[in-house]
Order: sequence, then structure tokens, then C-alpha cells
Amino acid sequence: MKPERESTSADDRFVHEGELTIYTATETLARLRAHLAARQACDLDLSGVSEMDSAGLQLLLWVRRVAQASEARFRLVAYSDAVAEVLGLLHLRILFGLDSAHSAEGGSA
Amino acid sequence: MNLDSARQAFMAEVAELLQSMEDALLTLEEDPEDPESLNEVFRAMHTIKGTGGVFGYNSVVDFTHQVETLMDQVRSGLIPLTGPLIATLFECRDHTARLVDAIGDETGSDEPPLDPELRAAGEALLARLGQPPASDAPAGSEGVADPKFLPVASDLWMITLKFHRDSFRDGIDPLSFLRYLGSLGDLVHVATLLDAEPTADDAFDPESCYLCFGIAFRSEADKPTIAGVFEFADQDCEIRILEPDTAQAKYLDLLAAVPDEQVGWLGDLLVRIGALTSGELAHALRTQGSVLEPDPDAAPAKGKRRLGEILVEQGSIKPAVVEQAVKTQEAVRARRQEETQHIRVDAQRLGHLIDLVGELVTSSAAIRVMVQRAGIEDMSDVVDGVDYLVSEIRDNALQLRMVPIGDSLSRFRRVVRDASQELGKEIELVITGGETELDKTVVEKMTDPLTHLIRNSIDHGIETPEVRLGQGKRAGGTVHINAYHDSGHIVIEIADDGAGLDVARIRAKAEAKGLVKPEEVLTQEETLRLIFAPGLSTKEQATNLSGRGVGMDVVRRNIEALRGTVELESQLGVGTKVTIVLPLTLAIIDGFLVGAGPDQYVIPLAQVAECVEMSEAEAVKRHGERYINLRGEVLPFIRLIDLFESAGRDRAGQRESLVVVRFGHHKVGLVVDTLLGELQTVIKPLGKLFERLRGVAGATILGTGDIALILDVAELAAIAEGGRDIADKRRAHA
Repeated sequence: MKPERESTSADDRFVHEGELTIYTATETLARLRAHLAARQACDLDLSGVSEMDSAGLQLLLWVRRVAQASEARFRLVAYSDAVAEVLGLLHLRILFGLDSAHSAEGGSA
Repeated sequence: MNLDSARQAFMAEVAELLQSMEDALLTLEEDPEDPESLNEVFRAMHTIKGTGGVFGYNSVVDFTHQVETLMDQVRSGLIPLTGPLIATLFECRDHTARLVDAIGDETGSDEPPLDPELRAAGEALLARLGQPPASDAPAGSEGVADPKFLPVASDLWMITLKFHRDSFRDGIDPLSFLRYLGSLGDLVHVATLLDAEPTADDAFDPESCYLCFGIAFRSEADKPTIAGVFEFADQDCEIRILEPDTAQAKYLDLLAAVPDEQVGWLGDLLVRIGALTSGELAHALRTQGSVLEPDPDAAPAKGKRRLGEILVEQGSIKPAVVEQAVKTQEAVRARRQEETQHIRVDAQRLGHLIDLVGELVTSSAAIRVMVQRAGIEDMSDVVDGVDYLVSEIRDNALQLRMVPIGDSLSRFRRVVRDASQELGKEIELVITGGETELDKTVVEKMTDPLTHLIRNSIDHGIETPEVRLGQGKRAGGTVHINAYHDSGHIVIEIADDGAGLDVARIRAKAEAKGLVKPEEVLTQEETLRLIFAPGLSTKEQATNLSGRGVGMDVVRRNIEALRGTVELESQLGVGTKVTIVLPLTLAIIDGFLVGAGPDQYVIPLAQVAECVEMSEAEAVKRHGERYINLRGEVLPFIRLIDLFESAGRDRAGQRESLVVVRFGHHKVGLVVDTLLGELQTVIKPLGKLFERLRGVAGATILGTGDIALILDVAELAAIAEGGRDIADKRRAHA
């Protein structure tokens, strides 16, 4: 686990900031695809995401699924309240490993 | 309502239901998959069971319950409807009728012990249906105890959302709906799915929506509220909302408690209790209207699918709720037909009403005479008004007794079916003009004569298929009953395309019986009419004479008792047609009052064709004694004074009028002294004393208190045509 840990903080990290919505979906997908094609691993840092809508959520689900299909690593390592709220609403926290990961969040009730 | 009249109502209702069941069975014989008829049979048994249960007639309930169960299975396609099964169902129908009759015979207790013979018959029938004997089934398993509850597993709503690809582009954010939904209750579980293949990464368009949600939802909200959440997404989303089982139980309770007047169409009913949203209903109705059966094997011979089926398939509602809704709907429909569309009225009360209206007509005529005599100008307007109202009341009162003749004609379908099976003939009964209306009392009295005539057609008119084919006819024969209105009368025709009557043989038999002298010359019609003579009505003659003689004199007597006539046309090898003409009503008519000599006579107004100055007609030319030339037409005429031998004054030089009356295609002129105008006429039958008086149908009391004879135009026509004979006989007497 240790080498992975190391690589996580470095190359595999994929940071997205600002909106994760329909307006950024195409561009974000292109970046994610390129990232995954190059590294076969993705540690997603969404701590800077201010807003996430259905298209953003769909994008996460899709990339996660594609990564799994190609046996690439896909993790959500950091997230903002906005992301936590959506994942909580849809009961997806466990799927994305939220409750076992760090970062206490407020999110949904 | 005491027990007896309740029982009467029950019996009447059962009779109606059994009649409609019989009609449905007859239809099913031709088209075993007709869903309407299947339902009809089911409904009849179901309703009889239900009503029987209310009255505590367990024998009826037990039996019909079993037949109902069977029909339910047939309806849902579990049991095929075969010819033998239909035959057995016919017997079941008859058995039910017997069971109900048995109740009717009983006068004492509510629940008469069942005649063991009847019980055995019922059990035998049920055994043939493959149902357990009635005694094994608990009686009165009615209503709320019956519906099949699904085991109550959860109190959760099951909501499925599938968004369309373009949803994002349309500005829909599915998450917002889920957030809103969350405000109404608890999203117990959400399954988020993507409707896309993971292998086809390139095909994935991040701006298209692939999201599907399955949501387990706990809420106190009702279905319309929950559906309202998604109202905005209606165009962009497929929505299924299935109520929790607890809500389903609530719906079932609601359905059982819906007030009758609120029950309408199935869809509306479900929307009303909140089990269905109007959006879901609209969608299902579109499916029902537009989509043809996708799977041809699934439901052949069905043009339209049932709404309930579509709703269940569409996932809008659970089957049990639809089932209960359909039951509620049917029960109410049945009740409503009885209650709001018809009121059962004792026929005697109606008769009494019509008698009173008759008296009213006479009284109002008396008032008119008084007013005219007193010469009070102001009064005559009032009297006109009263007259108008009285005639309206009269027409409406008489209308109450009018029933379409088709109801009573349809029973002959059974007669034809049974008889043709028995005789091995193929006979089709065609009924036209069934909507023609006729006084109910006349209808009842016509049943026997009509049955007789139709039986004759079947027994002896229509040949066996082999004989028919041999003569180049179609194998199947047709009996055609036709009814229509004609100048104040109803005409009923019974025509068959059978063997026809053999005039020569009738003549021979009549001579043998001494009814006709060998030297007498008779036209074909006159010879045919001989079969109405009493002498030709014995059984033995029947077989020799193609059976047409059986009771034909009785038929004629029955019809004449109703002031009707019967005529016969027949052509050997081609067929026979019997035409019956009856007055529409027995009570009151519009009449035309004329004076002849010292007396006054009433001619039924509907039969008056025209009135002419006699001198004018005479001026044309006289043909012998009894005919005149009316505008080139040879018209027989009768002088009423001569006919009734009234002690006339010397009428030389006096003006006379000719009233032309019409009866069917016959026309005859009546010569009278004065024309006195129209009046409403209450027909009073003449006593036995005047039975032999020809040309008179009855009498009426005029406003002056005088009595006027009502003329029987049919008989007058006959007299005029045989005019010479009468004149000759008179002369011989003198």
C-alpha cells in the first residue's frame, strides 16, 4: 500500500475545482479520460468543487464504471460539502468510500 | 318494503339478469371470445349471487357462486369456452331460474328448505362444470373478505424514474426532484443506475442523461402529492409510482366506501381515490388508443386492451387495486341501472292512472260542450289550454306503458335455438325494428300468438338442410321478425323462407271438413285464410297440412281480441309471411267524430286519409251500387246509415260527406251526414251483447254525455270489399 500512497499524492491525483456541472462535463470528461489513459489510476480530489449537478454526478459514476471495467484504480480522496450532499442524497457515500475516508462533512441529513 | 314486494323485486331483477345472460350465451355460441358477453355472463351470476345474498337465499348464492367462479376463470383465459361448456351454462341459467322460482313459490319463511331433487340437479351441473358441490363452499364469501391481499411486506413507496437522454439539455436537473421528494418523506434507499454500456466509452456523451433512479420512499403523502413532485419532469422522464401495500389496503377500503354517484370510469375512479395520477391515466389511455397489440399471440381477437391491464403493465398500480376497482365499478353500474334509470312501478298503478286520465279526457270534453253552449267567449281560451294539457298528460301517461317490442322478441332467439337443435335444422332468427314501441299489456298478450307462429315456421315452414339444398336453397333457413309503426298501429311480420303453404291441400282438407263447398270459387287469399278456421286446427290435420293449422284459430282469436288483424301471404316453395296489425294502445285514441242519421261515430284519426264532399265525388261517376270514382281511383264505400240500419230520416237532397279511411293498403270511403271534428276518445269496450256487431271496435262517452260508437276500420274495409255479399244477404233476409 505504501507506494500507492506515495503516488496518490503525486501523479495520480486528479484535481477538479469550481463547478462540476453540465457546463464543464465535456471538458472534465476529456481530462479524466486522458488522465486515466496515461496512468491507469485516478485519485479524485473534489475538495474545491463548489457545485455539482446531475451531469456531474453522472460523470463520476460513468468514469468510475469505465475505470473498473479497465481495471484502473479510481478513488475519491477528497470532496467538498457540495459533493457530499449529492452523494448523501443518493445513498452513494458507501459506493465512493466516503464514510471510511477522511474529511468530516456536513451534507445531507 | 315488506318481504313480499322485496321478493318480487328480487325475482324481477333475476329474470332480467338471466335474460341478458341468455342473450350473452347465444352470442358466445357464435363468438366464444366476445369479451363483453363473457363479462355479461359473469356479471349476471355475480349480481344474482350478490342480491341473493342480501335476501339470504343461500341456495341461489351457493350455486351462482360456483358458476361465477368458473366464469371468472373462463374470463381470464384459464378455462377454454367450449360448445359443451356453453350448453352446460345454458342449463345453469335454467337451473338458477328454477332455484329462484322455488323461492317465489314459498310464502312463509325467508329461507325455504331446498327441494332435494333441485339440489341434486344443481350438484350434477356443478360436477359437469368441474366445480365442487355448492355445499362445500362457504356461503356468503362476499365482498371485502374476498379480494386477494398481497402479504403486507412494507410500508414503502416504490418510485422508478428514468430520465430521457435530452433531459439535461432541456434544463432538467434530476437531483432537484430527489431533493424535493426528500422534503416529503424519507428516501429510505436510492439506487442510482446508468442506462449505458460501460464498454462503449466513446459513445458516452456527458451532456446526455443516462440516469435512472429506483427509490424506496417512506411518506404519509398520498399518490397525487408524490406524483406532483415530478410534474415538471413529466415530458422528460418515465415515472412509475407504486403505492406501498399499506396504501393499497387503504385504497381497497376507499374503493369499498366510494359513494355510488362518484363511480364512473375505471380510470377516473382510481384517480379519485388517489391510487392513480391523471398523468398516468392519460398515458395509459394513449396506449390503449394508439398501440395495437404488440404480441399477436397474447390476445387475439381483441381490438382494444383493457385499461386495468395496461395500468398494471405500465407499473402505475397493483393488480389487486384494479381488481377491487373493477368490482366496485361493476356493482355500482348494476345498481345504477336498476335505480336511477328505471323506477319499478306496479302495472296496476299505471293502469289506474290511465283510467283516471281517461275520465279526465271525458270530463274536459264535457266542459268544452258546456262552455260552447253557454257561449262564454273568455272561457274558450282556457278550455283550449286545458284540452292541450289533458292531451299531453294522456300521451305521456300512455307512453309510460310503451315498451320496445324487441325486449319480448329476443326471447324467441332461445325458442329458435332450442327448436332448431332439436329438429336438426339450421335456422337463423333475424329481428328488425325491435325498438318499435308498443303498449306493455299488448306485448304480454302477443307473446303466445307470436310463439305459436314462430314455432310453426320452425317446425313446418323451414325444411331440413338436405331438402333445402336439394331445392337449390341455402342450407340454413331464416325466420325474420320485423316490427314497425303504421298509422296508429304496429305491424309485426313473421316471415320465413321455408316451404310455404300448399293451397290445393288446404282446399282439399277444408272441403273434407265441410268448411267449403266444392263448387265455391275462392281466391288464393281466401283459401289461405281457411287455416284460421277452427275446423282445421286438430293435431292430425296439422301434420297433413304442414302443421299450419295447429291452433291458428286461437292465434287469430287472440289477435282479434286486441282489435288487431292477421293476414297471411304464402308461396309454395318460397316461404310464408304472416302480418299482424295491432293498435298501439288499448285505452285512448285521437278520434274523428262524424254524424250519420241520429247517431255519432268516432273514426280513429290516424286512419282518416281525407274528407270529400260526397256530391262532388258522385258527380264524377258511380260504378254500380258500391263504388265511386275518386280522382280516377276506384273506391269502395259504405253508407254508415245503411250499415247500422239506423232509422234515418228521409235523406233525399241532403248533403253528404265522404270520409276516406285507410287500413294498411286498403282504402274505403264512409258516407256520413256531418263532420263534427277531432276529439280525444276513451275507448270503452262493448259488452258481450254487441260481440257479433261488425265494424265496431268499442264505444265512447262524448262531452254531451251521448254515446258514440268507435268504428273498426279494418273490419269496415273487409265489409266494403265483400260489400255485395252483405247487400245480397240483406236483400235475401228482407
